[in-house]
Amino acid sequence: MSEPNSEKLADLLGRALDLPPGDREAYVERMCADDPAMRAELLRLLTLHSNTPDDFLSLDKTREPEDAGLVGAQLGKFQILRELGHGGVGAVYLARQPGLERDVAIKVLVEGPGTSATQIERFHRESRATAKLTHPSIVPVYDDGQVGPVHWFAMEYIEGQDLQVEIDAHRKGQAPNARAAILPRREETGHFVAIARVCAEIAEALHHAHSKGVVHRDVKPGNILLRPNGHALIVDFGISRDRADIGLTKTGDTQGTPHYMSPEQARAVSDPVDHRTDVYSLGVVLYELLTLHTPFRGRTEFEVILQIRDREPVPPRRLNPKTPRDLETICLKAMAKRAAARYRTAEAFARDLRLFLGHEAIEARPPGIGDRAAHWVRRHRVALGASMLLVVGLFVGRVVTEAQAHARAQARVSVELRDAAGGVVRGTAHAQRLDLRSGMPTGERVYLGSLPLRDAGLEPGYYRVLVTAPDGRVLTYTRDLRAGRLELVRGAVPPPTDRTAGMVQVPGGELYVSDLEAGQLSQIDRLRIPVATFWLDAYEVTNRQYGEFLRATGHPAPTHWDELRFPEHDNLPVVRVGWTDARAYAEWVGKRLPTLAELTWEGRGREARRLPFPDELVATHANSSHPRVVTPSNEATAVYLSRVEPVDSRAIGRSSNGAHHLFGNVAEWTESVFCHPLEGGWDPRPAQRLAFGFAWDATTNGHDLRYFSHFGLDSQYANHKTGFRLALDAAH
Amino acid sequence: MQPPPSQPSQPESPEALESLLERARRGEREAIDCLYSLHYPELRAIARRFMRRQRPHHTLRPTALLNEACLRLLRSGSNTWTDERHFLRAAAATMRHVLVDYQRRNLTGERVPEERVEVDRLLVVYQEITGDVLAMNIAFERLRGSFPRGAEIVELHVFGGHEFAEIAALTGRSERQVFRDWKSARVLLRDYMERERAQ
Repeated sequence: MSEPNSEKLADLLGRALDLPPGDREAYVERMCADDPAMRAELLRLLTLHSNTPDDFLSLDKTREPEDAGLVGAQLGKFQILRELGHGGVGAVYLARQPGLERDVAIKVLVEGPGTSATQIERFHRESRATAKLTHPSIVPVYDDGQVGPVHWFAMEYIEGQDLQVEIDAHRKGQAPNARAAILPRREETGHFVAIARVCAEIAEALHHAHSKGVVHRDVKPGNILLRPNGHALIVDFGISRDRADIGLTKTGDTQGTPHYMSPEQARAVSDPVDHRTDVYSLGVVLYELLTLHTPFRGRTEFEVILQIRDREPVPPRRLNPKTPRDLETICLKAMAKRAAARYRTAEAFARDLRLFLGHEAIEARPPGIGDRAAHWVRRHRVALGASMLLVVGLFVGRVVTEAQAHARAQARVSVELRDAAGGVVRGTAHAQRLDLRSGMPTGERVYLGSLPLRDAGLEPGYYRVLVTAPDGRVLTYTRDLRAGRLELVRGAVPPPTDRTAGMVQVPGGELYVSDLEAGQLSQIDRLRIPVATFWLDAYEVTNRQYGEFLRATGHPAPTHWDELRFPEHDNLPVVRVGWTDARAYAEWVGKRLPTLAELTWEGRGREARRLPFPDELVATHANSSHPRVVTPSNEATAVYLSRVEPVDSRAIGRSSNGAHHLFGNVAEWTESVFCHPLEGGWDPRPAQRLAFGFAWDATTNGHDLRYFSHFGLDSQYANHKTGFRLALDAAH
Repeated sequence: MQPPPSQPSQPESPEALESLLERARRGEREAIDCLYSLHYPELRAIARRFMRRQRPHHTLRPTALLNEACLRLLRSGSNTWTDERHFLRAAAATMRHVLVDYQRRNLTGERVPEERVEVDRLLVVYQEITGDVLAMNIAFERLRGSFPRGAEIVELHVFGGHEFAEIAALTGRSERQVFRDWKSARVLLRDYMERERAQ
């Protein structure tokens, strides 16, 4: 529908409109002397302009809703006394019912120009939903009605305060201006009992609502009221969903504060939201009561939502060690990411809380190794589906008999090594812990035992498991060993070739990157990192090399691999490998991925340059600066083929020890765990590894040249611009 | 371990932002998150300005709309913005789509997810300033064909809430040029809308 002269038309129209109104027509006449059609069109549009209301597309003209002025007014039988508070949708007033001489709370929605039919509908649904429910912990609704634009309903007036105020009071501790807390404080006796009772009461009330087909969906401390005697009530069924009304499959509820949103609400895609969303949110309330923190914190609400979706909460006992173990177990079960792993009903949740209160054994079990294994398997599905030889697996079956307490505290690892024929090989295993932020070894090597190694206990952490094969070669398996989990490392003896062929030796030293040099802080900045002498592949791993690995192991091929497995592509760097693929390859050849510090150390050169060569040489020394293009994945191979260079090209741009393409060509995986920067520290995310060095579209516009790129990428993340090269400890 | 002196997700230089955008474009989750964190306050401010003249206790939390818009952007899988301008347009376009979607569903009688009161209230505001969100949207698509420069300004200003000075900075043009284009784009939109209505 493109009008041919419309650019010109728009331009002339704009210029005409720049002139005082009296001069516009003359301007049009002058400019369109030869073009009567344009002239007529412009004159028509000028007229239209003067007939267009000023507020058309003007954001500053939104009207104000009328003031309700309700204090003193009469609604039904009730006399409004004062405002108690207000929320997003309406206000709550204190009112008096003269005949009965009782105080009631009246919730009011005043219809104005900014009120939609949906809001009114929602408002009435709240009173309808609540009126259906009769439970000592649900505030009863007395009456409702409408007077002109004023919609209202009356409910019992609860003295006391909401749980948010209560939590704030606890948080302030002994501060002089602290609001009085109704429940016993953390240091007082009865604290945990009171917390468990409050949550049990709310869970029972929610179960009652659920049994009537009403899901609350906005359970949070602000919607829980505490009577002065400490009993709790749930209010505000305003976004509740009545099964009879709509059904349970709808999601996308982004209403309200995100902290209590369940993962299925946060995902907002296709997971059904049912009564277990309330179980989750009440679990969060319990968490907050125990720890005085919300489980997920972020600078923005959106960040919180992402964390709810993707991250496990810190166990409450780590934030408040006095928390009874059983309460922690109950809380974490209610907060399970998968709805199916939570309490099946709010009643079951309440029952466990009551069992805790009665000093009886609760039904929930702490997350056992089986659960954790399942969790781990989910996260590492790709690796597990991967190679038969090098799979990292878990013993899922043999857990129940383990002493749970011991299992919780320790990470455990089993190691076995097989030769090419599949026979078990002898040898020894050590473990060396890695610092998550710098990626470098810390402390001494710990001797684990001789192979095959069964179930050795270790402090949880990120480790290199070092296996010494009978021929004296040391093989490295880098693993994130988690508390309560048994990890099985299955290694294979690599062929007896010289592993250092095609590698360059990089003498060690101390890496120090000052944050002043970098536009953006990186996790290794301002650390003095001792880099030990190591071997580094001179080249990125090629399609040919990776193809051999695929053939030998049956490891799943990268997507679009068929387009690349031709001789003319042999010497190009392999791409579309995730870090788990890269690690599987590394372990197959008996090497490891380099760390971020190692690549930075070699890439920057000893003179603390930012690149392997002076910045101004980038055009000749690096395969970089190709325009960035937005590419659908099925066309990415074409882009790759037109941009990438053979791994041994650009000898001119080699690093000081002879590594090609450290900057540009393709980005490269490291074994370093991504640490998310937090105020005051770094939060490691073991599922994400850093990639280094940028690809062919590294720009020369300043920033990228100041430091090497590294960013956290998920294990399953693979694209046409990221490959890898390998490293080996010089000592091995 | 020293605390970071500045939050890396708040790049101060355009180059740093450029790098962040590049990483987001590659699909890197962390960078996408950062980008949202970075723009989120801004997006909120945009929504808030629509609401600021409301009485205090009728103030809406605009976050619902923005969360919705952000989730939709994430879900769309089209993480293809190449620069800040591209990203802000994507955000503005997402806002527009959310609003159009809601209005369309309102009219077809499909139940609009009733908990999204904030979206509803924003929609009311937009109905007021455009006369008709759906007609506006059709006219807008047409303007994109006939006067793309003007369409970009309309999108950024009306749905992104950006001031003309900001748009000028984003598009590398003078504020005066931007405002001139705005004026003619506004008249053309009005024209298209009226013709649409006449049909």
